[in-house]
Amino acid sequence: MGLSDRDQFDELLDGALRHYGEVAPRAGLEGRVLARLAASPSPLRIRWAWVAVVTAVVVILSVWIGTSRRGAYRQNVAVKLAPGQTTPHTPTSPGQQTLSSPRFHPQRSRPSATVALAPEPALKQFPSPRPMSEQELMLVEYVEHYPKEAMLIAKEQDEFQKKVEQAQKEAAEDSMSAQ
Amino acid sequence: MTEQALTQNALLMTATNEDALEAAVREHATLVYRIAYSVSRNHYDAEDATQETFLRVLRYRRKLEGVDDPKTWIARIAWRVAVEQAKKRPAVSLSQTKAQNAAAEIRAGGKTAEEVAASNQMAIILESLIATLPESLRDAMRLSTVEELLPAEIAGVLETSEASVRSRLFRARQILKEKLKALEVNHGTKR
Repeated sequence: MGLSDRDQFDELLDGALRHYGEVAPRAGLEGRVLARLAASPSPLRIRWAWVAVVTAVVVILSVWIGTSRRGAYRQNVAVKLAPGQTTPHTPTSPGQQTLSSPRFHPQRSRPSATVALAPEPALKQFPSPRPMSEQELMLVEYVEHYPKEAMLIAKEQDEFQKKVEQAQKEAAEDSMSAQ
Repeated sequence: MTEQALTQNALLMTATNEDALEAAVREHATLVYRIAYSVSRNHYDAEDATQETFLRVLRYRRKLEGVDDPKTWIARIAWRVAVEQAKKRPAVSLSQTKAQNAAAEIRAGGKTAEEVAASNQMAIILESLIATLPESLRDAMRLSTVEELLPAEIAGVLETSEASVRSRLFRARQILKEKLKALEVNHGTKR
């Protein structure tokens, strides 16, 4: 193959490459692209959406952490205030006390698993005595001032209760006989 | 930076304004399309890539502040999008047999060199031959077929030097010529 062949192939390649790259998009490409851009959410909207999502996640997390801490705190207080027991549990050896006692982990807000599994306190009275509520105190005061009236009310209530129980019993018997 | 590039840059930097983005689309849509087509050789994929390219331009337009040449910047995005899309899709390469059949048709056709260069058979042969080039040569060759891109801009898209692009194009042409000779596509063409 001579020089003319080389030139011929150069020309052929140039022409072929020129035609190879000659490609035109379908009419209206710009319009379609612009329509797509218009339909896509604007970056500002996307940014606000992200802010909203992050805020929601933070709020949910803080509520969840707050709830779980409060629950743990209640559990801890219940264990500590149980009557008849001054400490959450009685360690059997000094080494065990070092490992399991919550006093040695002041940074923890949750009680450790050992505290949760501590033996039940031995109660002298069940349910444990509680201070009277406001309504109970008012009732006591009423009984002290008006004992006769209180007695009459109690009798009436007792009779009414008996009547209700009797009616319930009769209704039950009727339904049994009907079957 | 040329005056035109400065104007274009200023135009795109204020792309919060929708008119500026619209101007960029109108000016570069065909370039982006051709770049995408040079990779996919498929009109639908090229249009998808064009849409995606301008969505990215919209997304990253704040980066334009440090961009010297918006045309190359957009072309680089288009190239990346097209290459990413091509990797996702299964490779459909033209078989050697198809190229040989196309060469046989050219030899039998008795067309002039110009007609041969513009023929579908030649496009099939070129597509097949370019696909067999080493990746660095193939990328440079594909971008060189986009007539709007100069070697310096191809270098900007491929993030290499202009000298490297010229060298790659020279080597790619040598290989293509040798393969065209082997297919004897000049036999039967009218002078």
